[in-house]
Amino acid sequence: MENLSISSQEEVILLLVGNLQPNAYAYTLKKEMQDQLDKAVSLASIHTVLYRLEKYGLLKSTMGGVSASRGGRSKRLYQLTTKGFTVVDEIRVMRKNLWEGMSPNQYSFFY
Amino acid sequence: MSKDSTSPGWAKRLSKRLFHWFASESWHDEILGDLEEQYQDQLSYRKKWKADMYFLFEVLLFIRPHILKKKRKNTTFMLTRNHIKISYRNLLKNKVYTFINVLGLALGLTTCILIYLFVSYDTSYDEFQDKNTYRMWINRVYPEREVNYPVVPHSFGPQLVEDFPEIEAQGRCFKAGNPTNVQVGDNFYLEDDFIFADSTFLSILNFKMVSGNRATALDDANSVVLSATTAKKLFGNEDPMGKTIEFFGGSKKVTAVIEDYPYNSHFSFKYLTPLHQFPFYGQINFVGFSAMTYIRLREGTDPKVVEAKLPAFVKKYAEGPIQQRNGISYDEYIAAGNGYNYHLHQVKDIHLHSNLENELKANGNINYIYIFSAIAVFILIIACINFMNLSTARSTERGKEVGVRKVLGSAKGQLITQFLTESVMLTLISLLLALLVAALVLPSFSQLAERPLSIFQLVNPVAIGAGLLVVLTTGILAGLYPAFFISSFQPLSVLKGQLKHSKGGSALRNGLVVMQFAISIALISATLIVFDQMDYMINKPLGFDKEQVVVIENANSIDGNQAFNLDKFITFRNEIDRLPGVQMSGYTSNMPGDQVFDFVARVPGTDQKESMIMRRMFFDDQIQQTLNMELLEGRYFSQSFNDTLSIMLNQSAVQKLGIKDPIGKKLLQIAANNDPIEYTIVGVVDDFHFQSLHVDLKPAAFTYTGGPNAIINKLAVKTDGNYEEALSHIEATWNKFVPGLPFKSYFLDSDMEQFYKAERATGKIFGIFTFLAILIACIGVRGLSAFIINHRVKEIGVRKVLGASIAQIMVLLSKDFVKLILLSAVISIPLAYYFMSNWLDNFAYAVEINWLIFLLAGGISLLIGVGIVCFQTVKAALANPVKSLRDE
Repeated sequence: MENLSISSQEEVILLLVGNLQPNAYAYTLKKEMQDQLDKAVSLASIHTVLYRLEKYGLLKSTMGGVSASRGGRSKRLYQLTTKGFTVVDEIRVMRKNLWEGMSPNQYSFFY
Repeated sequence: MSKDSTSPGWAKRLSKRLFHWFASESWHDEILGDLEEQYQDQLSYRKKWKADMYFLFEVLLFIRPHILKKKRKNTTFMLTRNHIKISYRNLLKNKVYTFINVLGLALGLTTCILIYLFVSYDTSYDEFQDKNTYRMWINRVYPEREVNYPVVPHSFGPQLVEDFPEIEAQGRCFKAGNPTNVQVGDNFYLEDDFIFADSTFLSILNFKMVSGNRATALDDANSVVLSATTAKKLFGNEDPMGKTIEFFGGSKKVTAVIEDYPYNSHFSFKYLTPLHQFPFYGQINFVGFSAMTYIRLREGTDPKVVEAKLPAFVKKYAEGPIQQRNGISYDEYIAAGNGYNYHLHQVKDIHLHSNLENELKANGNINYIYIFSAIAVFILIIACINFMNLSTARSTERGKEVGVRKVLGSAKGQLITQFLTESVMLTLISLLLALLVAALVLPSFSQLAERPLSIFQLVNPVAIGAGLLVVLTTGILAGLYPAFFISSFQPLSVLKGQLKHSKGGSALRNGLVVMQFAISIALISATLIVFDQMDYMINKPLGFDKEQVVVIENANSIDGNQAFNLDKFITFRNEIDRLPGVQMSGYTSNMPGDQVFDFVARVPGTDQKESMIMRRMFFDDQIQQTLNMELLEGRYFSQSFNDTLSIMLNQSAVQKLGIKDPIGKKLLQIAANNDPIEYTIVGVVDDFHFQSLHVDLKPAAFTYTGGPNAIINKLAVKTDGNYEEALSHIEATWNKFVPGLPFKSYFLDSDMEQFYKAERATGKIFGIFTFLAILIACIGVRGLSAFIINHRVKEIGVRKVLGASIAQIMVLLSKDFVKLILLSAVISIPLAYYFMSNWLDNFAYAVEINWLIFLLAGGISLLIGVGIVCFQTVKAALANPVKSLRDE
C-alpha cells in the first residue's frame, strides 16, 4: 500500500465515488465535481481517471441502470473496493496527523 | 438512436460517427450513455446548438489511448512488432551469418567514422580566423632553384598599410629558433615556442584574452604575454599579471595572459614578446626575409586585386637595395633568372593548401585528405555492397518461410516490410557497433594521427544526416531485392524448392570481388612501399655518423648567456672530452636536422650576379671529427691556425661555384647591410645530409666558431655507446659549470627519425586501413563463397558419387576466385604503381619501387582469398553426398 501514491484528482474521485455509491458513474461524478467542488472537468478525463483507478484495483464496476435519457444505454456503476477505501483513509489519517502538528505561525505564514 | 427527443444537430451526429470510428466497441455503451445523458440535461438550460457543440467537444477529448480501437494493433503495429520479433529470431538462428554481416558493415562504418574525424579535423584548421586575414608568402626564384617561404622582409607590413587603403591593419611575427632559459625567481625553465610579435599582432590573429589589454599588451619593449598553460607552469595559481620573468638576458613584465592557442591552427605560442625589442626590426629592410606578415583586408576587398599590385610595390621599395647589393640593376637581376614573387593566402588555407619551408608547424597535405576520403568512400561502398550481397544470398534460403507466409494469407506488402525491417535493423545495429568501436579505438587513433580527435566532431547535422542516409539506404537496398524478388514467387514453386537464381546477379558479385581485391592489393602495395621508403630513409648513409651521439641542446647557455666567449666553451668541451665513455665532442650552430641559415657568396672577380645562396653552419675544430665527416681536401679547422676568416665548403658548393683547386682560394660573403667579408677556403668535406631526405643536398659553407658573428647552439658528444653512464657524467659536469640551468639533451639518431614522423604516421594509418579493407574483403569473400557453394551442393554431391576427389572439388570451386583475384591484381597494380611513384616524388631520395612488393601484395590477397574459399569448400566436399542429394 505504501508504494501506491495517487494524485489529488484521483483522491477526489475516490471520495466522490464513496459519497455517491451506489449511483456513482461518470456523469454523476462530473456533476458532483461541478456542484460540490466548483470544478469543470470533461467526461473524458473523469473516464480516464476511473479507468486508471479500476486498473489499480481501487474501484470495481458493474454495468446497469439503462434509462431513456441515456438513449437506452447502460451505465458503468463504480464502487470503492476495500483497497480503495484504505487508500483514501490512509491519506485522511496522514493529513490529520500533519494538521495536528501544524503550528499557527506556520499556518499564517502561508496566507 | 432515433429515440432522441429532439432530432440531433450535425455536430452531434458527426461526433457520434467519429466516436464509433475511433473508440473501442467495449466503451460505446457507457460513454455514449454518459454523453447522451449530459446532452439531454444540457438541453434544459442551453441552446440546442451549444449542447451539440459541447457534445462534439467532449467526444474529441475522448481521443485517448485506452479508448482507441485495439483493432489497429492487428494491422500495422502488430505486424511491425511481429516483424521485429521474427527478424530477431532469424538473426539469432544464423548467428555466424549475422555476426559476419554486422561485423563487415560495422568495420566499414568504423573506418569511415575514423577517416571522417581525421579529415574534418584537418579541414577545420584556422576556420576560426577572420576571413579577411591573409598572410604574405614569397616564391623566391634563384637561377638554379626556387624556394617558398612564409617569411618576408619586415618593412613590408607597415609600408603596405601606409600605401594601400584597402589594407586595414598588419601584424608581424617570427619564431625564436632555439630553446631559451627562462628564469622566474630562482627557478630556471628551458622553454621553446617564443614568438616575437608586433604590438598590433594580438588584434590580427584570433586570440582569446584571459587578462590584459589586447591593444597595449605588447607596447612596451620589455613586456611578455603568456599562454594560459605557461602562466600556470611558471606561477601556479598566483596571478601572473605584472610579475617579472627573465630571458634573453633581460627582465620582462607579464602584461597579458591568453588562452592556449587552438591546436588546429598553423600558429602556436607559449611566449609572445615584442618584435621591436630588436633594433634590427627598426631598420628599413625590403630585401631580407625576416618576419611573417599578416594583413587584414577591408571588408569586400578582393585579395587578387591587392596581390596584383604587389610587384610594383616590391619594385618601388626593393629596387634600390637589390641594385646596391648586387651591383647590377633590378631589371638585369630579374632577367638573370631571379624573382621575388609575393603572394597572399587566407590564413585558413595555410594548413592544407600551402607547402612552405620554415613554417611554424608542419603543414598538412590536401592530397592525403583526398586519398583518405577516397579510401573511406571505397571501403564504405565495399562494406555496403557486401552487406547487400550477403543479405540477398541469405534471403533466398528463406523461400520456404515466404511460401508458408503466403499460403497463410500474407500480403506482398507485409513480406516486403518483413525483409526491410530485418535489413534495416541489421544496419542500425552495425551503426551502433561502429560508433562504439570508433569511440573505443579513438584514443589510440588520435595518438597515431597526432591530432586531438574527438568523437563529438560527429555531432553535426551533416555527419548525422550522411550517416543515417548511408545506413538506411544500405538497409533498404539490401532488403529490397529479397523483398520484391522472393515475395513475387508463386507460393507453390517456392515450397517445392524451385527458387531460381538470376544470372545477372553473378556478374555483379564477380565485379564486387574484383573491386574489393583490387583495393586490397593496392592498399597492401602502398603500405609496403611507404614502409620500404621509411626504412630506406632511416638506414641511408648520411655522410656522418648519427649513432652513439648525444647532443646537448642548450649548450649555448654555457657562457651564461653573457657576451659570446669561445674560451668558456672550449674549457667546458675539454672537461667533457675527459669524461669516461666520451670519445670526442664538438660545437656547432646547427645539428643536422635543424633550420640552417642562408649564406650568400661569390668567388671574387666573378660577376655580381654569379652570387649563390648556400647554407651556412658554424663549426668548431672538433665537430667534424666527432660526427666522422669525410675530409676530401685541405684540413679541418684547428686551434693551431688563425681560422677566424677560414671557410670550409661541401663538395656540392665547390662544384656549383666552379672552383678548381679550392684550397687557398678566396670567397666573398655578401651581406645585406654590410660590406662583403672575404674568407679563405681551407678544406672541402664530402656532402652530408644536413636536412631530411625530402630535399636535395644543398651547397653549404662552414665557418669557424671563432669567426665573425659566430653562434654556438649545440654540443655533439660521441660516446662509447654506454649512453646512460656518459650522460650522467656529462650532466654532472654541466651542473658544475652552470649550476641551476636546466640540462637538455637528445640522441641524434632518434631525433633524425623525427623528420619522417609525418610519413611514419601516414604509413601506420595506411596500414590500419589496409588491414580493415582486407578484413572486409575477407568477410565478403566468405559470404559469397558460402553462397555459391550452397547452390552447388547438389553438383558437389553428384561429382563425389561419380568419383571426384576432395582436391578436385576444391580446385573446381576455387578456380573462379583465383581468376577474379588475378584480374583484380591486373587492375590495381598499375594504379598503385602510378600513385606510389607520385608519392615517392616528394622525396629527393627515394627507393626504386620493387616489383616484388606487388607480387607479395597479390600473393597475400590470393592466399587469403583462396584460403577462405578452400576452408568453406572442404566442409562441402567432406559432407556425405547422400545428404545433399536426398534433400527434395
